Parts: sequence; structure tokens; C-alpha cells
Amino acid sequence: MSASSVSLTNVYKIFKGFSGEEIVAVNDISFQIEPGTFVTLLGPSGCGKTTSLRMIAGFENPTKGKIKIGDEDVTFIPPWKRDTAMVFQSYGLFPHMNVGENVGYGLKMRKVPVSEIHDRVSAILDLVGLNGFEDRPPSSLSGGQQQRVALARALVVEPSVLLFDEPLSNLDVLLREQMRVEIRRIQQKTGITAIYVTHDRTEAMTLSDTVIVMNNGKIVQTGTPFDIYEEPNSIFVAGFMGKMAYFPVKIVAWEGKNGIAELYDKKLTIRIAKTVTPNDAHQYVMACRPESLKIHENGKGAVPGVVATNVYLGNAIESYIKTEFGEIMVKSELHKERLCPEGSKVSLSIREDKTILLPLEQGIDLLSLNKAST
Amino acid sequence: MKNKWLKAILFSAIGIILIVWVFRTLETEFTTISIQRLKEAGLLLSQSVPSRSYDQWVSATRQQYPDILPFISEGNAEFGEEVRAVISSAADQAFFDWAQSLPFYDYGLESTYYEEVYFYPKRVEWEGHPVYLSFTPIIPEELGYVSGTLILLHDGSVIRNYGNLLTGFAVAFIVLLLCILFVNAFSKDPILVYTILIVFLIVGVFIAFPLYQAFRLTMLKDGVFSLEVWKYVLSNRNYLQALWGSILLGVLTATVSTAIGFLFAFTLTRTNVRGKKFFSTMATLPVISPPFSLTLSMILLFGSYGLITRRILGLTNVDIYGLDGLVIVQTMGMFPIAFMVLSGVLEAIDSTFEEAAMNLKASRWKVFSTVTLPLSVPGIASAWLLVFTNSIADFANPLILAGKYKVLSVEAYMEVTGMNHLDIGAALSIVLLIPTFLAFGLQRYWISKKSYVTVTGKPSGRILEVVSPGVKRMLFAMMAVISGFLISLYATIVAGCFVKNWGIDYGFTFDNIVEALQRGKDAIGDTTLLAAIATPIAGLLAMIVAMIIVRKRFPGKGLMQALVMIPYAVPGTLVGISFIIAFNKPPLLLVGTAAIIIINYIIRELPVGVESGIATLRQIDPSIEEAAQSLGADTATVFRTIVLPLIRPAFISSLSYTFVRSMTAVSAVIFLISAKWYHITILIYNFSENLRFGLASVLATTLMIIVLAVFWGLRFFVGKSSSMQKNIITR
Repeated sequence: MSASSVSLTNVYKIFKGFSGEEIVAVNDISFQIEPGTFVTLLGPSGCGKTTSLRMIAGFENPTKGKIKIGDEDVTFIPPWKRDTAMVFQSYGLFPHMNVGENVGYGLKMRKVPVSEIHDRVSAILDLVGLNGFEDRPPSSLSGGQQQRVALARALVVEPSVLLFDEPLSNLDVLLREQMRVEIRRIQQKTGITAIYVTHDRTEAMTLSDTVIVMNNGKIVQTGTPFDIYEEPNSIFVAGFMGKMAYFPVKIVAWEGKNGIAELYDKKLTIRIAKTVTPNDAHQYVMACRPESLKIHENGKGAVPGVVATNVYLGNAIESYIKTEFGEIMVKSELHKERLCPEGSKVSLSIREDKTILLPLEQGIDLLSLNKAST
Repeated sequence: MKNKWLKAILFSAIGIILIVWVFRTLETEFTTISIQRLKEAGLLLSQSVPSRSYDQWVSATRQQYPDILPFISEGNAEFGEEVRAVISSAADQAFFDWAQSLPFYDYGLESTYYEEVYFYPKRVEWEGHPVYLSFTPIIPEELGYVSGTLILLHDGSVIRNYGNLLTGFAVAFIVLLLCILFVNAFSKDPILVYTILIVFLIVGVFIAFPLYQAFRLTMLKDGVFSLEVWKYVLSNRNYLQALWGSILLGVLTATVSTAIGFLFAFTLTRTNVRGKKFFSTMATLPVISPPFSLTLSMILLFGSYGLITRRILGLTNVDIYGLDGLVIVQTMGMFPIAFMVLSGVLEAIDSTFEEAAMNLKASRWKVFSTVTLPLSVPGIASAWLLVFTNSIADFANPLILAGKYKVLSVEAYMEVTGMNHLDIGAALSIVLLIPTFLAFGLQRYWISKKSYVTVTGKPSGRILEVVSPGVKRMLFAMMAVISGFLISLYATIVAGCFVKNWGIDYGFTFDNIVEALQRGKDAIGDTTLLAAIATPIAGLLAMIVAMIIVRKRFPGKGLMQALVMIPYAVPGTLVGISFIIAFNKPPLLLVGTAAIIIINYIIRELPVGVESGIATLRQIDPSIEEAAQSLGADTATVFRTIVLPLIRPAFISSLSYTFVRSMTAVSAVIFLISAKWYHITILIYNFSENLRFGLASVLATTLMIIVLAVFWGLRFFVGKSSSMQKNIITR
């Protein structure tokens, strides 16, 4: 398999709405995907991730911009002449063909000899764990099996780029986890370039080499799953990757990448997120994950509050603490902590090394940020 | 991008130059050869010019060769003789006056003195005709020298027409070349673009163009714009009476049909009477029954020599011809339309509503009158309107059964075939459109807004008995009577085949069958052949149009959809008339050919096929087709290997529909048949007009057998594949 690079340069997609208004689905995005890497386009629905993928596949024409696969400019090349294969959310299996015919379809289109088609189909079905399913109609398979067939059908043509459009969202939780592992395993084994679209952050984290976070048709951040989770460059990314607690702070001084932040009467030394440069003109918030907060029964912590609710999760406990900045969730491992009853006065301490400074965009209300649960 | 432009422009420039060069060469070549022949003809002619009394020779020649006008001028200026035009009429004088004003006239005369023929190689215009001028010396044998000049006016219209034809071809080639080059250069999907262009060409030429031509004809008088035709049509008492006749007939038929349709639909969906399958067959069968068949049996049973009226009841002065007969026949033929609409509506009304009402202590009658009936009002209204438009557009039944009663569709036919008044016929059938459009508008803007019924997709399957056993028995009895009547009508036609002379001699015979098949075998063959040719074309075209309408985005899609749907609303009479108006001259001289009948079948049955294709395709997940595309299948391959197999049920039902409708067509086809291509339904009509009811019965029965065979045969096919259809619907 010859894995190819994929690059988008200043790509726009503008749709016409029903009343003639323009809807900018993709707004000037550019990125470069190295051969053999697994890249995820992550974002909420309507962020333009699927449209971007469909433009790479050739189902949509970009309004502006250039798309290249390998060295070839494919911007105006129809899907059937591109060396891509797509795995769809709804599988898109041909209901009038059996599994073998489904998987062999792409090879038939490529005029591969019948005997070779047969061999390659059974080899690929082996790979996805569906050995001997050739003669079954797709409708007789379970959802997970159908998606494996769809994956096999895309893989068997040895495309230079494999595209996934939320392939797991129609599966139940257990199957999803299993397929996630499977997809990553097969991608690693074949070394193929893969572009994966999802709104599920766990999928993005577990599958990808690189995650591209999109919002409102634009790329917000690109990075490894670790970077995206630990070093978000904005409140949007931070919030999209999981629950965050936000505290408004006043920066009194900068020491390189570290800001001296004032919270109540305490001074904290917090570093700014890797991808953000300090700017005196900006307002900043301190952001940390719920597991980096600690509840104290006394006033030892920086932020005073009252326990509103405790939620028992089995392996951990989520406590919702009412503070001046809204209700803040704290996640603690049960056996380590003593449970503070609801209504008791507590204080929160913040692990400075696990906390970052994020610029506060205008018009964002902290109280609502802390309340919003993801 | 820039490269592409350059390439496309370069190639089209080269192409245009090549095409122009080829066609210019062809034209010059042809002109040269033609001129050479004309020259030789002139020379030959000049040898027959006598030395005296030219007049007689001139008039004789003009009679013999109408495309060569000879003129003579006497004398040879070289010898110092006086040159004098030989003039014997005012026309000669006019010619010479004109000729002398031509710049080459003197040169032409002069050449002849040197015994040379001078042919002016350019076409000139004389009295509005394209002509060539030649000057040939007259050398009488007895003199041996040039005594004068024969000036010939050659008819240039053949050369001109040929030139025009070539220019037309050249333009067409250039347009085609530009299309191909630019589509290939700038479209991601050239096959799709060509398909769209071809579909537009088809609907433009065969739907929009004829209707436009028909409409234009009604606005013209002697070639200029005038409202004369409309003034005449709208002020003529006869036509207004016919319009009123159509509307009255429509109202009566629609009302009775909707009542019967509701009776069947309600009883079959809301009660558990026995024989549901039988009754629903009875309530759908007439849809595919051939035209004239019910009319025919009405005449056989209730006509002035009818079995029941004359033979059994002994009445002598009954007359089935007229409004009452028409209402009965149309109702029998059209209540199935109301039935199908209403049973769909009633099925969609969840019986939970009725259960809720009953639970609130409403009586059965109260439930019906306050829940079931109000909920089905929009359905009843649309059923009524649908029957109404069908009744107004109906042509076959009134043609035979109207008698003195006037309806518009028949009037239009009489104007066209009887009087050859194409413009009036067109105007009358356009008037027929007005009620149809009104009904359509009502349906679209009023009824659809009043509809409470939301189709949940899953009928609950439970039936709540909203009627008491007594009422149920009554409903059953009413359905039984109507079904019995319908069966007896069909049985009468079959019986008619074996009766010697209906009304007079009820003796048994096979003669009718032998004679009818003998005389009708060509018509049966033609009809079947033409329908068989039209069927696959219409079916495929419908599926292709459905696919591009549902799945593709392109400018003018709404227009295409509207144009494709037009023949559904337009009465057959108008389609027929507009076809003979539009296609009676070159280059689209189709009148009298098989092609015009086939094309008519195709475009008339296209809307239903397209609709069912669209409905089926909308149920299919588009990612199935996208998956195929991403695996390397282009648009044509996706259509062939994915779409067509998936919408097979719609495809096959559209095939069977087209075939059946084409076999039983009357209203449009009656204008389009010719001595060479006849239609079986028209033959049935002819036989009934000549009171050969036996022969008509045989042909009607034959037609019924063919139609039923095809219908059930194809239904068997669809039935097999319907299990597959369930898997397709993933959305």
C-alpha cells in the first residue's frame, strides 16, 4: 500500500441556504497530513469536519482553495478517479450484493481479474475477522460486522488515503470500544494514511496520531492527543476535550511562560498553555481538570465553597462545590479521600503544575462555563 | 485552471476552423457542380433557339422547364448591330430593366459575342427568388455566327437550401463540439452533464415545444398575432355549452365516485368484513381496464337494443347516450382513484384517535362523525378533485357515449379531425386545462394545509370496529351490489364476443372472433410493438431523471422537474393536438410515423415513473451510492450497478404502468395514428361506431387479456423483490 500525504490549502465551502443566504461550512482551512499517519477531525456537529472530509473524498467541490493527495491536485477530480476509500457512518453496504460482492466491488471497478478478486477479498475478510462470510447478505450481519465489511471494502482496494465518516456512531458502546482498537490495529498494520471524522473525543484520543479540532468551519487547534488534552489553546478546546474548572485571575507579572496569578489573597505561579503567547492586553482564566482539584475540610485551599452534591461513580466520586465562580466539579478517587457531606463548608486547592492559563475571550461568562457540563 | 481555459479555447478554435473549412468546401463543391450543370443545360437550350419568332419558343420553354426562365436579347454589337431586348410582356420589360441595372450585365452580353457562355457565379435575388443569371450565345446553324444572347434565370433555391442545410449542420457540429470540449474541460462529471443536457433536450423538444406551438397557434390569425381564435371560442354558445357539460359531468362523477370510493375504503380499513381481498381487487381493477370496454357493455346492456332495456324489460325508448350513461360509466371507471387515495388516508389515521373518542363515551356514530370523518376531509377533497380532473380530461367514454351531450374534449377532437381546425381544437383543449390547474392549486394551497394526518409509517394493525353489525352488513351489501354490477359489465363484453348480432339475434357464434382477429391483427401487432418499444425507454428515462433530480445539484433542476411533470396534468387531447401541430414540418416531420406515437407514450407516462422513482430513491441512503463512487464507479456505473437494482420495484412498476397505459391509450394517440401505424383502441372505437359490437367486444377482451397478463406478470416480479426492498430502507 502506498500511503499518500494529503494537503488542504485555504479551502472554503459555501453552501446556498434555502432562502439564498450563504452558509460558510468550511472557512479557510489548511492542513498537511503526512503519509501513514492517523489524523482525526474533531469538533461539534456543524463545525465543517464532515464537509472537509467529503471534499477530500470528492463528494463536494470546494468553493475556493486547493486539495492535494500526494503530489496530485485533486480539487476538480471526481471521487471515482481519486485514490481514496471511505467508510460511512451508515455503512453504505450494497443491500443487493452479498458480503463478498460488496468487498470485491472496488476491485471489479479497477478491472482486477476475478481469481485475484477472490483471493484478495478472502484475505481482507480475514484481516477484519470475518473469514467465511462471503456469501452472507449484509442484512444478516450485526451492526459491528456490517461496519467491518465496510472497512474491508475500503481497505481491499489499497487506497492511498482511507477516510472515515463517524464510522462508529451507529454502534453500541461496547462494540464501539472494540472497533476502535480494531481500526487502530489495522491502520498500524497496513501503514495507511487515515483521516477520521468524529465528534467523540475519546475516539479521537485513542485513535489518532494527530487531532485537528474544528469549530465554526475553522481549525481551532492541531496537535497530538496529549497536547490537545493537556495543552488546549482555548477555552473551547479545553471544554470540548472534557470537564474543566475555570477561575478568573489577575496576572500581576509574567516570568517567561509563567504568569503570577492572584486568586483571593493567594499568589499562584501558573504556566500559560504551550501554544499561547502571553499578552498583557488579554484577560486570562486559570483552567484545570476536575482531577487536579482537591477538597479540604478547612480553609487550606485557595477557593472557599460549599459542597452542593456528591455523585458516586464507583471508582471515583464527583463533588459539586458551590463557589463564587459557579458550581465546580471535583473528581476524586474514593478510597483516598474522606467524603465531605453535602452542605459542609470546604475549600479547594489547585495543583499548580496541572493548571494552565487560557485567554478569556470577550463576552464569555465564567459562571455559565463552569456550569456547562460536557 | 488557466491551462484548461487555454486548452479548451485552442481546441475549439481548431475544431471550428476545421468544421467551417469542411462545410465550406462541401458547399463550394456542390455549387460548382450545380453551376456547371446549369451552364450545360443553358448551352443545350441555346441550340434550340430558332432564328425567328422567339415568343412561341420562350413560352414553350417556360412551360417545359419551370425552373429556367429564358429571356432573349437580339443583335451583336461586335458587328455593329443594334442590340435589342426581345420583349413580349410587361414581365419581360421588368426583367430587362432590372438586368440592365446589374453591374455584370454588359460584361455578360459582351462575352457572348465571343461565343462564350458567361455564368455569374453569385446568387442574386429577383422578385424575392434566389436566382443565378447566365448569358449564352445564340448561334443559329443557318447563320453560323452569334445572332443574339439567351439570358437564363436559373432557380437557385435548391442550391440555397442545400447551403442552408450545410450551414445548419455546421452550426450544430460547432455547438456540439463546444459542448463536448467545455463540458469535458470544466465538469468533474461529464457523463452527468451530458445526461442533464439530453434530458433537457428531450423535455424541451417533446414537452415544452409542442405545448408552446399549440398555444402560439391559438394566438395567430394568418401568421400574425390575434385574439380572433379565443374570441371565437369564448363567445361560441356551442363551446360554452360543452365547457359547462364537462364541468357538470366532472362534478357528478367526482361526487358519486368519491362516495363509492369512501364506502369501499372505509369498510375495508375500518371493519373486518369478509372478502376484503376480493373487494379491494374489484375497487382497483377498473384502473387498468381498457377504454371503451365499460362503455361498450353499457350499450350492450342498456342501449336502445340493450339486453336489459329491450330484451328483458321490453322498453323501446330508452337512451343510454348522454349525461346519465356517462356518469355511470365514468364512476365505474374512476371510483378506484378515489378508493386508492382514501384508503391511503384512512389507513394513516391512527385508530387510537377513535379509541380515545370512544373511551370518552362517544357513540359509534359520534366517533365517525366527529373524529373519523373530519380527519379524512382533506383526503376526501383531494380524491374528489383527482376524479374531477380525470373526468374532465376523459375522452374515450364521451366519444362513444355522449350522444347529443357536449363535452369539451370531444368537441376539440371534432374540430381537429372533422373540420381541420387545429387552432380551435388547441384552444378548446387549453380551456380544459383551466379546471385542472384550479384543482391543482386548491390541492396545493388549501387542502394540504388542512391535512391533520401525519403518516407514521407503521399502521397500527389493530382495527377498531367503529360500526355496529347492522351497519356493517349494510355496507357489505352495498359493496356487493357495486362489485356485482362491475362484474356483470365485464362479463357482458366477454359474452358479446360470442353473440351473433347483439340486440337482434342472440345466437352463439365464433364468427366475431375470427373476423375481429383477422381485421385487427395488424392493429394488435402495431399497438403491442409500439408499446413494447416505448416501455423500456420510458422506464429507463424515468429512473435516470429520478436519480438526477434526487441526487444531483444542478441549475434548472426545478424547471426540469416541472417540465417532466407537465404531461401528467395536461389532458391527452391537448398532448395529441400539440404533437400534430409541432411535428408536421421538417426537420421534425414526425406526423404519420411510428416515432411520434412512441414518443407520445414515453412522455405521457414519464411523470408517474419519475414520481415512483423519486419516492423510492428518497428512501435509499445516499451513502450507498457514495460508497460505490469512492470505490471507483463513475455516475453511469453507479446508476447501472447500484441505483437501478435498488429501485427495481419502482422501475418494474413503471414499466408495467407504461405498457398498460400505452396499450390502452386513446385521447392523444387518436390524433397521431396513421394508415401505417394503427392503434387497437381506435379500432375498437371504429367497430362500435359502425355498430359492430361483436367485433369491438372481441378486441376489447383481447386487450383486457394482454393487459392483465402483463400486469400480473410484472407484479409477480415485483412481489419477489419486495422482501429486498425492506433492507434498502436504512433511513
